[in-house]
Order: sequence, then structure tokens, then C-alpha cells
Amino acid sequence: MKITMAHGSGGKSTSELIAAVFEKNFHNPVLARMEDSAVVPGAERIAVTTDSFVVTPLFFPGGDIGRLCICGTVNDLLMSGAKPRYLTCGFILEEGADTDQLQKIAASMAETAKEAGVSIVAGDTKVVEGQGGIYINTAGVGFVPAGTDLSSSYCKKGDAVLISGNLGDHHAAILSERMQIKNTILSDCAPLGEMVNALLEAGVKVRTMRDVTRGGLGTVLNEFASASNCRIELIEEKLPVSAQVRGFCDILGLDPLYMGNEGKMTVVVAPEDAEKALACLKNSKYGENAAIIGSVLSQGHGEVLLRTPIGGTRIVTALYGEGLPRIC
Amino acid sequence: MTVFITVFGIVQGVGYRPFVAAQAKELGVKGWVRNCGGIVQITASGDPETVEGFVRRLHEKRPEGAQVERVTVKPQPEEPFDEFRIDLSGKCKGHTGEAPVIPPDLPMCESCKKELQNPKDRRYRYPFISCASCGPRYSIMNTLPYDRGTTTMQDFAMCPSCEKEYQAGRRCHAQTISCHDCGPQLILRDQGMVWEKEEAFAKAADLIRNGGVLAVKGVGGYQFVCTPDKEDAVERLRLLKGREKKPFAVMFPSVEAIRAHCSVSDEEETLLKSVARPIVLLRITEKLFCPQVSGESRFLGAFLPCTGLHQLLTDTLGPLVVTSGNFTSEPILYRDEELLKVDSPFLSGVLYHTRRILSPLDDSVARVFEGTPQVIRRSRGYVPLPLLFARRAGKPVLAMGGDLKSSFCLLKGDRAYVSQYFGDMENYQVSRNYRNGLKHMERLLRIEPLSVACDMHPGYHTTAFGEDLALRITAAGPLKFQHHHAHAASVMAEHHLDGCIGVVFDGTGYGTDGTVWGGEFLLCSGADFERRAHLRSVPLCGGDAVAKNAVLAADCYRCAAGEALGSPRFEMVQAAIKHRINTQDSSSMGRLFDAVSALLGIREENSYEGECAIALENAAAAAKDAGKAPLFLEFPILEKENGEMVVDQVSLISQLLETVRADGDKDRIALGFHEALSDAVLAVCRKIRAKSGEKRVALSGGVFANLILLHQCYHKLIENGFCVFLNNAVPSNDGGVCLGQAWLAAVTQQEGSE
Ligand SMILES: [Fe+3]
Ligand SMILES: [Mg+2]
Ligand SMILES: [Zn+2]
Ligand SMILES: [Zn+2]
Repeated sequence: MKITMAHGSGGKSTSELIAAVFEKNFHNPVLARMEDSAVVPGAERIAVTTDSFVVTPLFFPGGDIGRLCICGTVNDLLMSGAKPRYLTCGFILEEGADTDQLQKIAASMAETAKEAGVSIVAGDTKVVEGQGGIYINTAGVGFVPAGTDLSSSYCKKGDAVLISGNLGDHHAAILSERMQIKNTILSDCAPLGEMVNALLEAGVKVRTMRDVTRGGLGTVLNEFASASNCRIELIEEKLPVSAQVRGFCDILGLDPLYMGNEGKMTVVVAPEDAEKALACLKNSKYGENAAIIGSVLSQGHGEVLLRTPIGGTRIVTALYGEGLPRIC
Repeated sequence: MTVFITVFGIVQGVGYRPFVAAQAKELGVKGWVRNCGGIVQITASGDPETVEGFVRRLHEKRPEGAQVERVTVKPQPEEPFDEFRIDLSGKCKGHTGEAPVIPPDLPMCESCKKELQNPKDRRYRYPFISCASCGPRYSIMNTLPYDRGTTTMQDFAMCPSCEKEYQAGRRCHAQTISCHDCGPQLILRDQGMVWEKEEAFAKAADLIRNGGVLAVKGVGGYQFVCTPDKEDAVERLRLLKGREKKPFAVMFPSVEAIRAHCSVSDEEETLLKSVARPIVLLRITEKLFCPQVSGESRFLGAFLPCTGLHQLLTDTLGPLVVTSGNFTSEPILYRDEELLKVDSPFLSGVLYHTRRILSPLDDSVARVFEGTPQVIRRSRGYVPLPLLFARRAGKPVLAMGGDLKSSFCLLKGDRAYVSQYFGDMENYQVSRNYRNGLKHMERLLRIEPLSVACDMHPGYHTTAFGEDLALRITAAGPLKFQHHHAHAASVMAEHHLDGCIGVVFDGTGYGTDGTVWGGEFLLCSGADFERRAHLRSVPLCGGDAVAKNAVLAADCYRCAAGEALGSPRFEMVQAAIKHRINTQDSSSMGRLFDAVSALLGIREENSYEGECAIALENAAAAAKDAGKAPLFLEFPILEKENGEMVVDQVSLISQLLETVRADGDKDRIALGFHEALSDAVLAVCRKIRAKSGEKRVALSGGVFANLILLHQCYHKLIENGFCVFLNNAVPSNDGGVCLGQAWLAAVTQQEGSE
């Protein structure tokens, strides 16, 4: 079945679509009430976030837009130290969208939500003219335990910088798919709840965490460096990148430091907790390639440096525009 | 009669005051002379004829290394003096506000060289010999006025003998005066062992003789030195530096020694012996060294010693490979502690002394084209001499330059001070040196910029830094100039042109339309330009990687020409271009040279900048030398609706691939490519001239390092009635961009105020 403008009318077709696709996949008591807004219990500090997903293609090796829209929002909540609980989702469907695809996406959302321990408690669907595209917005609510206080401005001299796994997988998978290149690169799209819990429960002194998405690690660390006014140094050989992704990047002149991921986080921890943090990450699902990749060198200068294998030091700026060559 | 005289120009640190005192004493003039922040002030008293004669002398004569720009004379109330003395008070009178001229580091003079080689002289074999007219200057200067106390010579107290010489004679007020007893002394460190003075020298010579690589402290920083005769020594040097493939420069004890290897014209000899003692690129006539030194290059970078130490080393050991003491992509090392920290199996020892270097400076590189010098890397011996503009800037300007061969320019009035070459700003230490160098020069020259100019490229570190500075200085953004426009303007600035056809060929510059430019014909007038013609804009994939990987450049051009290869790599590039993954539209000339080089199977990788283009040029030269005719190739010139012309290199690539399949003589094709390009340059310039009447052509951009191309363009244009101008005092590569930016900023200021 294809989506038609009638599915966005708010009438019978809409209800049918919701029942057939969304209720079926997301069913839970709160959603089942089908009220104008979801009323949920909670008395702690609340974290709220939202994100829109417009990825092409909708299905890619290692994931799909459904898994992505859950992970993206859940991970954003996790990075503030919150325990993600509730999600809302808004669908913008273009005329001609395929309901079978929508089914698959909804099923994937449900599965990922279950894995991440969140409930989808409210939703909305609109149909617009177009060519069968599917766009999803998700908003998330999480609770922040008392005593949890993380900020990108908390990085201090000596702190260790860690990454939870290989860089660039998602970006390379999406590009491969778009270029219709056959390889075995899979998106890393994953919820990071398990490893965040592990870190916090082990009592690791976490200064800040950030999921490494668009703009890549280079951009995230620049944000840390300027917020904390500190100089972060990365060791190039320590950056985990799979051989496949490395080869892919080399041919196309891409830098894994600026490539997007959807299931990786970088975390800055107190120096004495570096090894403990590494163990927490490594023992978690999706964390087997975690590594300590650098440290905060000094205070007083917001910049990120990369120490290269031959002993040189490169300045890593935030991403400024894809692929614009500088070499004359 | 008493007059007050001010002498402007390079008059400090070149023995100018002792020279004045000597003239005064000879003529019987009384009074005093003193330094005053870069200018020299004189009060001269005597009968009117004598004073006039004295002033005439100041116009006519000067010590070696001095450049007198201007002498002003004002009458003074009569004042009696009983002698002529050199005033050290540092009290300045009636300061002019003109930015001072500071001497560059000066090479050992002939008199000092004689003393160095004279066993009876008390400075026999003293490596740091100098006098009032020679020795290090800018590299050890902290502030003005130039006195011992404002240089790092302050760490060395004069011995009684030197103290005495400081009062009169050749070393009168020579701030770098020193000797075996009191000055900097040689130290050699090798695996924790330390030797000093003559022992250090002997041990160092042994190490080099036995094939070791030595770090030697030069004027502007450390140099790595080894013998050019031993393959394993040069190989070790390459390993130490990080597997660089670039040809090395060789230092010779004399011009005669150079002639055994290279042809040296009169102009080249003058350039070799000039104050900057630059590395001069000379045509090799006899390949006498091991091939690791300069590979298959047709040229050898040759230079002469500029200090006593270098003279002693080359006198003892003969020609030596001497290269900047740095590691790949890092700047030159100039602090002892950095060098002593180096732990490499390829470094045999460190030969140094304890006089500190304040400004790091690489050795400069130059060549002679059509009888005129062209500076290729502007550093030691040139910096900080100013260039004079034809017009004055209303507000002092700081121009940030490019990003990969970074250098900045400070402009005040009509004086443009171009900094030394720093390197790639992405490198942390380079960017530190650039920032420190800027602070240092601003302070020395007392220039507080009120206007900042930079490139348009959104990813240049110099642009970001310029934006920062501009906000602090003016609370507004910097003036941003298009990269190739700045290249053309650098020639306009040098030759005082108000307009020209700028033919600018380089690798990459950010265009006003957001695409990448690099093969440009710009009609320039004042601070404006119109893009009249350019290479076709072709999608190139790979960002900066394509500048390294010529096969990738070739693949991109194959795609543009509708050719295909069956390989998975090619398919990936094709898909990336089709879907515009990391792909930019580009009219780069540099990448075209790379692609042609790779397509002809000549060179497939730029392990150093320009490697593929140089190999292509060498192939063309081989065809020429063998008397082979160029294969005919042609760049069609298309006209767009808006009147812009497009030089179609894609058609040329198709022709080239056909000729490769048909004939296969890559040397003839390489020569044909150069001919076709210079033909296109002429054809386009004629079309622009027909419409605009402009017949002045400026050739700039890094691609014009290619002598075959430059030669062909130059002569074809001259024969067709064009006036051709080149970069001479600043590099045609990105090292000269700052000068163009500064000039454009000055013209913009003027146009704004009209
Ligand atoms: Fe350039
Ligand atoms: Mg997000
Ligand atoms: Zn001398
Ligand atoms: Zn002495």
C-alpha cells in the first residue's frame, strides 16, 4: 500500500494507519489511552531533547531510519546523564510512501526502544506532497539522578579522553549505500544506555560525554575544548578505525575525525579513572573497540591537537565544509 | 655651521655609525651620530664646505649591506663640539614615526673571512667571527635600538681585547663582537659525551666524514648536515627527516667548487654571493654526488657559507648536504633543548653553541630567470627588509597570507614587511611560530595594524586567526581577498602596476563563487578584478587527498572526459563524483599537471609538493634535450554566454589519452602539453587584450615554478607585444600571497577615501 494525502487527513484513513502501523508496534498503556498528550509519572530532574531524521536511504547496512531515530534521541538523553524513559515520534510522510516500509521502520523503532528501555508514549502523523519520502522527529524525556552533574565545561588538565569504538562506520555505510558501492561496512547505529550505566554505576568520575554524530569527533572535542578552555591532545595511532573504513576513507580523501557515527560516544574522565572507564566501555555491548585516545594537556587555550606517528602535531579544527581542499 | 641629519634605510647593524664616524674624522667634521629606532641621526658641525662634502658622502657611499633610502638635512643652532663621537645614549630626538628598517642576518664579510683563515689572527678559526658589517642580526634581535643589550649577545660579556676593539676600527660598535675567549663557543654532543671548541669541530668533522648526520646550529635554526658522497649517509638523513624525497641543497666552500657541478652565470654568481646567501637553483652539468642527493632533478640547490662555522666546515670537508633541521611537516628547530631532546638512531651528533636564536629562519631559496633573481622561499637574509610600494597605506595593514606556505605582511606607509616562511598552519608549532613572529615583528617595527586582510577560504587557519584579530582591532571583520587575485596583486605590488591581466596558475584557491579555482585569467584593475577566463570547472573528488594522490586526480579527469577503467577503485571514484561525495568543482591547474603526470605513467604521487609536476617538466626537458618535437595537443577555448572564456582541459585529456594509445612517447607528449598550455595562455591573453586594451601580463602562482612553462609563456607573450611581469622579491607560490593582500588592502583604503 502507498501513502496517500488521505492518510494525513486526520480522519478514518489516518486512524487506520495509526492502528495498523504505530499502535501495533509501539503498544503500551500510556499510548493506548490515545489522549491529546501523554501523562507520565516522574518526580526527578527531567532531561528533554528532540531530533529530526531525514536520512537517505531509509534502510542501510546495519540499520534503518527507525533504529536511528530512537538511538539518536536516546543517546542525546544519556549524554546528559539522564535515564531515558519516554519518547514521542512525529512522522512526516510524503505521498507515495510505502506502508510496508513504514511497517518495517515501526517494527525497528519498537525493537530499538525495547533495547533502550524507553516507551513511545505519543505520536503524530502528517502527509505532504512529494515522492514517497519518510521523515521522523522524535522527542525524548529522561530523568537525571540526583548528584549527576556533567558539562562540557568541566574538562580539567590531566583528564583522559576516551572513545567507545571505531570511528566513521555510520557515515561510511551511508555513503557506500548512496554510491551503490558493495562492501561490508555496517552502520554503528546503537543505543548507548548500557555503557553509560556501566560508567555511572562504577562511580567513574565523568566530566562530560557526547555522542559523536554529525561533524565527527573533531567537532565534538572542539566544543569541549572551547567550553572548558582547555587544550586536548589526541594520539593519532590510538584512534580506532576499522581497516575497511580506513580504506574507504583513503580512496575518497575522507577524514574519520570528521565522520558521523550513530552509536559512539566520547567521554572525558578524571585521570585516575581512565582505566576503569575503559574497562566499563569495553565490557559493554558495542564497546569492544573502545580506547583511551588522548588527554587534556593544559588549561587556558581552547584547541584540539593531534599528535601524529612521526611526532608532528596537527591542529584539529571543527568541521568547516565538506571536502574543501586547502592544499595549494 | 651645524646641521641635523637623518638617514633612513637599512642603517642599523650594518656598521653604519662607525662608517659615519670614519667619514667625519676624515673630513674633519665634529659632532655625533646615534641610532634611533631604526634610523640614524647625526649632528654635524664644521665650516659650510666641509659639512656639505660630508652630506654628499652620505649620499654617495655606504658600508656593504646598508641601503640608504633618504637623507634629510635641517639647519641647527650653532653648537661647538671638540670631536666626533658615537652617542650610545639611546635618546632620540624628533622621531619621525616612519617604520624602521632592520637589517637581515648578514653573511661573513671578506675581511672576517681573511681573519678566519689567517693563523696569525686572534680570531683564526673562530666560528662566530663577525664585525660591524657582518654577522647575525634579525635572528637574534629582541628590540630596537640595535645594541648588544637588545640582542642575545647580551648573554656574553666582552673580554678586555674585544672591549678595546669595540671602541674603534672595523669592530667599533660591532654588537656581535666576540672571540675565542668571550663569545659563543662550539659544543658537540654525541651520545651523552661533550666536546668543546676545536675538539668539538674536529669530532664533528670526523662524524660527517664517516657518514654520520649532524645537527648544526646555523643562523636561523638548526640544519642537518652530511656528506653528499655517501649513499647511506644521505639515506640516513632522509630517514631522520621522515622519509622525505625532495632534493637536498648542497653548501660549497666557493663558487669555483660549485662550477664543478653546475653552470653558474654572472647573475647567478651575484645571487649566490648576495647578502642573503640564498640557496640558488642551478642547472646541473656533472652529476658528481650520490643520486640520493638530488634524484633525477635537473637542478641543484647550491649555496655558499654564510658564517665562519659553515666556511670552516666546507673548507675542511668540501661540499656538504645542508638542509633545514626539521621533521616532515614540522618547522625548523631553533631551540637547543628541542634538538638535544631528539632521540633518533639516524642523528649522530649535535654541533651547537649557546647564543639563543629569537626568530627561526630557514635558508632562503632563489633562482635566476631571464637574468633577474626570483625568490622562491623568502627567509634568512631577506627578512625583515621592506618592499617599497608605489602608494602609501592610510592605515597600517596586517595581511595574513595563505595557509600552507604561510607568511604575513605588515604594511605601514609605503613599506611592506614580508615575514619569513613559516610552513603549514595546520601544524601546531608552525602556527605558534607564526603568532610569535607576528608579535615580534609588530614590536620591532612598532606597527600596530588597524586593518586586517586575509584569504576568503573558510577553512584557512590564517583566515580564522585574521577574523579574530580584526574583531579585536576594528570590531569589524577583515578584508577578504580572493586567493588568485592576491597572487596577481603580489606582482602588481612588486612592479607598481595599477592594472594587468593576471595569469595565475596554482593548485587550489577558494573562488568567489564557492568553487575551487586554480587556472585563472583575471583582468585586474586597482583593487578589483574580473574573472575573464579559467580552466573548465571539473568535479574533483577527495578534498586534500587529491593533491597528494595524482592517480585520483587522473581518475577524476578520466571521469570528466567520459573515459572509464574497470577497476573497483575507479568505480568508487566514479560513484563518488556522480553522487558528489567529498567532491568539489575545481579549475585547478596544479591537479591538471598531477593528472597528466599520472596518465603518462611518469609519477603517481606527490610525496612532496610539486613532485608530479616536476617529473612532468623533466620529461618535457628530456624531449627537448633529445631534440624531439612536441606532440601536438590543443586546449580548445570556449566562450560562455557571459563572455567568460573556458580553457577546456577535458578535451586535452581526451586528446592526450588518444596519443598515449597511439604513440606512447611520454616525453614528447609532456613537451606537447607544455606547448599547448603556453599557446592557450597566449591565445586567451590576446582575446582579453582585444577587448580591454590591457597588455601588461602578470604571471603568478606556484605552477610557474615550472621553468619550461614559464619560459614558453614569457617568450610567446613578449613576442606578441605583451609586457610580462613576474614575482621577483616574493615567491610566486603562496609565500607571496600576503604581499598581494597587503597591496589590495592599501588600494582599497585609498579607493574608499576618494
Ligand atoms: Fe596559491
Ligand atoms: Mg542528536
Ligand atoms: Zn665582518
Ligand atoms: Zn673577546
